[in-house]
Amino acid sequence: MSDIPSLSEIIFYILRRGLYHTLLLTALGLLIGFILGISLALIRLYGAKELAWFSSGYEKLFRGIPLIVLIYVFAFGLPDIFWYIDPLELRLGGVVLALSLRSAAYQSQIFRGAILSVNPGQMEAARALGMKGSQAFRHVVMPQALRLAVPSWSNEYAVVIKDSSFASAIGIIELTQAAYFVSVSFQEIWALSYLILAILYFLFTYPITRIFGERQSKKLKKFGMGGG
Amino acid sequence: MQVLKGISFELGEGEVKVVFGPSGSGKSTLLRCINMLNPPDKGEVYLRGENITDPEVNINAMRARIGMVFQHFNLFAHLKAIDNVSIGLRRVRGFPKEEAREKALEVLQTVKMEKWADHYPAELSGGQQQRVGIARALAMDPDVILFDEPTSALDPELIGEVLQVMLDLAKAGTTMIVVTHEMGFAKAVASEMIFLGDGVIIESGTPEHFFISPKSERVKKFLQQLDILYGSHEKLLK
Amino acid sequence: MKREIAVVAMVVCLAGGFLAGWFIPPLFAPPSGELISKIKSRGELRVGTSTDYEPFEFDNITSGEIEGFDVDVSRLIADEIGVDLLMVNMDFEALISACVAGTIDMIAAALTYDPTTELGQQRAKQLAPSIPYITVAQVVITLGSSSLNINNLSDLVGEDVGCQTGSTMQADLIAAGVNPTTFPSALALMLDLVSGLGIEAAYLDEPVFTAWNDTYDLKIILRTGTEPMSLWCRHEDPDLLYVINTVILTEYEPNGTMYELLDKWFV
Repeated sequence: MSDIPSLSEIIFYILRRGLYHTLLLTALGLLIGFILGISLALIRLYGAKELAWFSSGYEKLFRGIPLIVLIYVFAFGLPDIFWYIDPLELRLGGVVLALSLRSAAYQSQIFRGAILSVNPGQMEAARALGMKGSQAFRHVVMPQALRLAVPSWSNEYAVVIKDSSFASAIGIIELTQAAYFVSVSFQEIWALSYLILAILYFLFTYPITRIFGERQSKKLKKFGMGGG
Repeated sequence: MQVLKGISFELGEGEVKVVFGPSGSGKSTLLRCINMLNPPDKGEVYLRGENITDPEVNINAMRARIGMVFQHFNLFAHLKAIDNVSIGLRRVRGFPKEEAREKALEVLQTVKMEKWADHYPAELSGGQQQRVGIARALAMDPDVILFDEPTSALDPELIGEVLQVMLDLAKAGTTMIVVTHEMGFAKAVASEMIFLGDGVIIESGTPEHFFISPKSERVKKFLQQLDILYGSHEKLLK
Repeated sequence: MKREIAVVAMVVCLAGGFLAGWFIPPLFAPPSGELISKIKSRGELRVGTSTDYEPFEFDNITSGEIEGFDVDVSRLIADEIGVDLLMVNMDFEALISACVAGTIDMIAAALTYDPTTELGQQRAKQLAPSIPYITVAQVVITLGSSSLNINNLSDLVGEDVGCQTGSTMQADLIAAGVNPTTFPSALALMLDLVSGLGIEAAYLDEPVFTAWNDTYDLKIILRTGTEPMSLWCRHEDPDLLYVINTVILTEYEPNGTMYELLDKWFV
């Protein structure tokens, strides 16, 4: 075994090897989860009865399955469907799918709650102006619902970035896997390497949840959105 | 549950109709039937000869011709005052952005809110919000404006500014149906007053008729109670 | 009503199609027995491993490479085919699924194969084992300062003994009437033992003891049977299995490189 690396060397190593995949997985998971989640919320609120039933079933299903199981299913199941894509590359797609399908279940709830908490008087006022239901939804209800969703949504970001660490289970080198490499290479400092990892995750989540969570909550209160 | 029964009235161009009566008598429902926010199960509403209640009619185009001012203002919380006024012009009337803005600013001037154009509703007082609410309805150049208890959610000291705006509109010849208990306003501009009780018209007539010789005991009693509760707001009006 | 029926039909078709695509083996997948040519055309042999098992496989972060006995053996196989070697690190539990799915071509992760045990039979159903490429002894070890003294596994009844979850050692201990503390990795197991605060003894493969004995004061208090280890690949890829077995046999001939590797990693 070689000499124990310095603190800055450990941090640099973990970031250099892991940051790209952690951020990529988080961004794609949130983005696809956002598109699916909003669609599910709309279906659940305004869709035909059968579709709403499908949406609510989807939410229950994906909130009930452990993420690691989803990752195994998709990372090792996708090659069966997309046989023409290199299965090793497809692992990343499997994790993205697992993260985003699950996040969609949670984001659907976030957006459904946000849409429902827009004061019904807003919709009425828009319809009274002569807007079509879809116009009223797009120009009045949705902009407010999105603002109302920001605090919960920043929380979902924190969840997804931390859950992206499950990708290490199938050998995708992200922050957790990189820290793990350090811990097995230098068993004397295994606790330190995980402590550094914990601090890194904190630094990537706290400022975001702080800005978009707490500050946005205050702003919304000031604007009198939601409820009364 | 049947809220309204056998109500029938006409409103001419430039007339102001004041509807009043005890709470639960169906005043708000009446307004909401007129612009189909609560479509009536039976009965018909005509606007310049067109049947609004006809399922074939384009209800959105009809609503664009009927302004509505709400008790709780219902201003769009995410939009500045000016955008609250211009959104209908842009999205329903299809005005280009600049033109809508100019027109909105003009209308804000008529309610004396032009200085507050760039403020969000939450930054305005109740009276100011309601004036923006009136401007929002006015900007669409509607054939008629419905006022649903426009001052009843306001602190007493803010009622005057809103009534003054409504009074100016009435004098300028705006056709209005106003649900209100502000009898000073009714006395000043109403062409006809309707007393609604339990979903039927108990009595209707000119303000003179109501304030000098109302027929029904119920109306007499109600007017006395209003006097005790609110006093007369005539002093607020020039 | 018509609309509702259409919607239900659509959902059912989508779900049905999805499930069918998932569970019916792919119709257009390349036929089996052609893995070697696929490996050659892609230019790399992909070997899955789980790097917490020094000296079999571990990460050297200075070089950024996975190293160990299994890596060197895998390189012999890659050389035989004439391609580069790519080691893919995964959780131990993920390896078999990954190999079945074709994400990796084979597993080299100190995976034991004992056809007489249920665990071994289960593994052999999912994947094809090679002939044994190394046989290691299993040992019960303690800290050098420990006074624990035993003659066989059943003497451990009542003692706090640790082993790796799902390992053959766990099965052995339970068969001997011992209730072991299990750990998800050899690393966790060893860290608990050397802390001096956790388990009293650990039951594991001898090479792990050898690796850790460099840094810590440890001793063997019992040596039990030996356990053959295999490399694994899919049943559908007999061509790769043939190459693996050939390499193992050739390199164990008197002038083969296996003896160098054993010296390099286990002495």
